[in-house]
Amino acid sequence: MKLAKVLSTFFLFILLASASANAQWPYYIAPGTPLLPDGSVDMDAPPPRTPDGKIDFTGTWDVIRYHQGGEQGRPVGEPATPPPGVPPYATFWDQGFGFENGLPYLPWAREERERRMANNGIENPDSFCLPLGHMQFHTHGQPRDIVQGTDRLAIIYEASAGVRQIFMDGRPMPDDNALEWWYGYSVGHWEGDTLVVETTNFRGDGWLDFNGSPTTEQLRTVERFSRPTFGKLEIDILIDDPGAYTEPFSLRVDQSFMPGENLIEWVCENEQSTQYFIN
Amino acid sequence: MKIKMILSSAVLFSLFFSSQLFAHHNFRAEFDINMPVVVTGTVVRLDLTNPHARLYIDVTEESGEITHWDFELAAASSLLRRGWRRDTLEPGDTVTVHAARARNAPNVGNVEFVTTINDDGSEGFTFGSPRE
Repeated sequence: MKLAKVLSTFFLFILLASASANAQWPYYIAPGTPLLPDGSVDMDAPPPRTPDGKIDFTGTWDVIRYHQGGEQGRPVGEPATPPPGVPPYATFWDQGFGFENGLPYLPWAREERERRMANNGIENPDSFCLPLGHMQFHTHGQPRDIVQGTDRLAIIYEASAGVRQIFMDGRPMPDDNALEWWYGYSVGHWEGDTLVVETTNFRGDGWLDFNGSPTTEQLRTVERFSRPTFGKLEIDILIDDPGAYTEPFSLRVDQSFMPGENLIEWVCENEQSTQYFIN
Repeated sequence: MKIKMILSSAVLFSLFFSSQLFAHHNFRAEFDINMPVVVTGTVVRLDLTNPHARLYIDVTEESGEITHWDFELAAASSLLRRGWRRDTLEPGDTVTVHAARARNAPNVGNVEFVTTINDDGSEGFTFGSPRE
């Protein structure tokens, strides 16, 4: 019995300390990863840099959730207070959770969100294997990979198998006649160690959060990516959509490096649940 | 076997305290948390697929009739990160499924956890499924 308790504690520790121990594929620490004397990854080490001296965001990242999670992870309780100068933390379910009065909806947008919530979110694009919006991707519980080159950066989201491309080769934003996409069109440039990404040309039917905060074709986002340490990614996101909101607002997403982790294939192949949906 | 039970208990524990929950669709759009159901039957098939894995079991009623149950689980990737494997449940295994019923379909549910039943009728090991 004593052995059983010891083993139980051991396995529990392994499971809670590292999801990677349980991952589908082998745990593998890439060469060059900073390590502490005990062999674990030094998450507080300086961030890596590319050969041309830029911050390298490459890696697998897990969202840091600061709020208490209720049913299905819904935020409950009091929102966490971010450090001074940092915007409210984004949450997957409700991007207005950290705002005293919620998001600054235009009347139609507030009504649409309430209608979607009353409908149990059955029109959520993700329920039908359609892409999540950027803010849901940033805050999703499934990890994402950043793959960085010199002239572009790709973010591969395990959730919904989403892929974003961010061009960093100096190209201009598209003109007004360009097509609109689920992921929009993203162009990035460096401001010191911060990668600033502007995105326009969104379709008008993406959701900002699981509750259904709407967006329109007027949506424009500016994301500021920084990696203060090896183990932490910080993203400040400006949401500017005069079609749905009275004023622009900003959100913060923090993510943590996942040592030895990798994405697991996620093809949305069998959403059989929708046949049973009711509102 | 003891090791497997210990490990599965730890897996179950980790599920309840995991911060990795997400939602693919609103649980309330399909299921009612206030309509729990517990059934014991024989595994027909476990599909480790996304966005939801599915578990099909046959339950023999007192009348002798067979009822086919269709259970939704979390995404395959979520289950794999939490210790499930493709041989976790195999056809022919006897299991007890703790679930919430679908609101508008009989014999459909969302799994909370599954316990295997040994040949002597005792409980084997338990695997949970986060509600997504």
